Amino acid sequence: MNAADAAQATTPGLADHLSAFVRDVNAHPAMAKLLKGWEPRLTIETLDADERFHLRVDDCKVRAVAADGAADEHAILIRGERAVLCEVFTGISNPAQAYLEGTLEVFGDDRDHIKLDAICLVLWGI
Amino acid sequence: MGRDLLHYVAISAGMALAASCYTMLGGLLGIVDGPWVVLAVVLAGTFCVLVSTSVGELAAMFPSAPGIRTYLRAAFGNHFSLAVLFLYLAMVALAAGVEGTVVAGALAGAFPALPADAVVPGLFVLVVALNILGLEAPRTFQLVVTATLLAATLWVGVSAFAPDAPIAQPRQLATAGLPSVIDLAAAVGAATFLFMGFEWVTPLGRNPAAYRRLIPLSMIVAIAVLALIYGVFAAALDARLDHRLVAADPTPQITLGVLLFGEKGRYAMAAVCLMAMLTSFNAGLMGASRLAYGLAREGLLPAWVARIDLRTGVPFNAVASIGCLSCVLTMVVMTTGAYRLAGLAVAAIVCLVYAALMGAVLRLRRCRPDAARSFRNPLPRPAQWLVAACLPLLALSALLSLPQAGWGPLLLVTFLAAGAALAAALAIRRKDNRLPLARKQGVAP
Repeated sequence: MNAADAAQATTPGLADHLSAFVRDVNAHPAMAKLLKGWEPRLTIETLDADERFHLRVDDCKVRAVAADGAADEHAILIRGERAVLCEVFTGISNPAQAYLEGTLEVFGDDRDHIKLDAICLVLWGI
Repeated sequence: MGRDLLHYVAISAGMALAASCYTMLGGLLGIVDGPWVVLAVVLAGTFCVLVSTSVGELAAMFPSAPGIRTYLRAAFGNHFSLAVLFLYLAMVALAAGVEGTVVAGALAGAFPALPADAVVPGLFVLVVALNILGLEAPRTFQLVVTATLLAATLWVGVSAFAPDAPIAQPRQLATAGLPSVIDLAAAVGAATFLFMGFEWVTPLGRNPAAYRRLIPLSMIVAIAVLALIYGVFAAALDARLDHRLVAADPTPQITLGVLLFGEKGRYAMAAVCLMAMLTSFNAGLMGASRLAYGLAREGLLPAWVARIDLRTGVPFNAVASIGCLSCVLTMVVMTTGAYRLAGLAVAAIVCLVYAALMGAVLRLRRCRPDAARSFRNPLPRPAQWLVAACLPLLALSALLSLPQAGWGPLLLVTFLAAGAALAAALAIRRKDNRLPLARKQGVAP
């Protein structure tokens, strides 16, 4: 194992960041209002590391789900390089900025974009 | 695939379809004679198809990104892209002004007792209110409306060529001479107005694969369909009405409808105008407010513009701001009657923005040659340069095509462009000044 691999093994990965993100969203008191009536399936995909994660918003709570290959009526795909996704899901980067710069790709309708952005805004104020 | 393509075509064509397009078609008859209007429409459509291939490449580089802001920023930097975006937003509001004036004219003709000058701003307010409440028409309904508008326009156009169709004034063939290159260029530049907005489909791809083929193809198909329908309608105007009168008529579609179908035609065309205005205003409002929201989230517009309703996810202040701006410009255009001047200014700005988009592709190929592009503009580089260089000339020709307006349209666009550049500089400076303060206060940048 070289130094870079060792460093990567000890730093949290995207999966850890997403777990923390889910925990924070579900614990935040303002999220229930924001998530009410909005129940998409989120797929988060890295462009450079072949990783894919699935989240579902259900009854105002976010939870990780397994990939089942089933088509979903309301599905949102979020793509970006691993580093970009890590920064977005930890509140280091402003997702709206990343989206405008084209480094974060979000495939969903207008309202999905704003809801996702609002989650970050409410969580971290950025 | 067919269903997806239809979906994207309907979005692209629906964005471009507006009540003021008929007025612009009539106005073209004041620039060039009869059959040349059809050629101008076809040439403008061809230019837009060429532009769409560049837009397709940009969309493939930045799938799902919010259009010109992302594309121009990547190619030319923050200030230029922001200035163009502000100019674009001003253009959308100005287009709403033209649209409102045309529909007010159509309603006044159909329902003389109705205070149309008050009804149109009222309808704008209603659309803004529905947007703020988060009420959206189902997508299927929007697609049906677009298809209805296209079919109605085509039906009226084709009906004009029925053997027994009445004629208001015998066509004066003697005047249908060869136009000068400048007049034809002016007509092509002005006709670009008819296709404005076809590119708004690019942020709406449902998945990354759509950017490989479907999105670029949908823009081409939408432009071709629009060119066909507008071409037929322009030929109908030329064949059945006195083109000198049509050129000065803000609602030639109503005049043609009455000629062909009597009073029923008047009401039907007024309904078509109203439907076209509501859908185009709604689409413009949604698109422009999301852009304003994005700018506010970037820190380039005041933070209150980015406030959203947590329940609906609607950026209500952005929607209200764009709605107010559109209403004000509608009142200005309606009061001054400068709808044709404003329409030409819009057409010219569209040409300039499209030239910038073509330039962006050329620049990005040079500075980011290895960036992934799932679709590439098949046009050879010199041809792309040529089209990009022609577009500003078309814009200039269009701006100078209205003799009674003199330098007015050119001055208006210059004023708007200078204002947009200044606003961009101020917005960037404001953001830069806020960053050190935010850091000092321990707030994340």
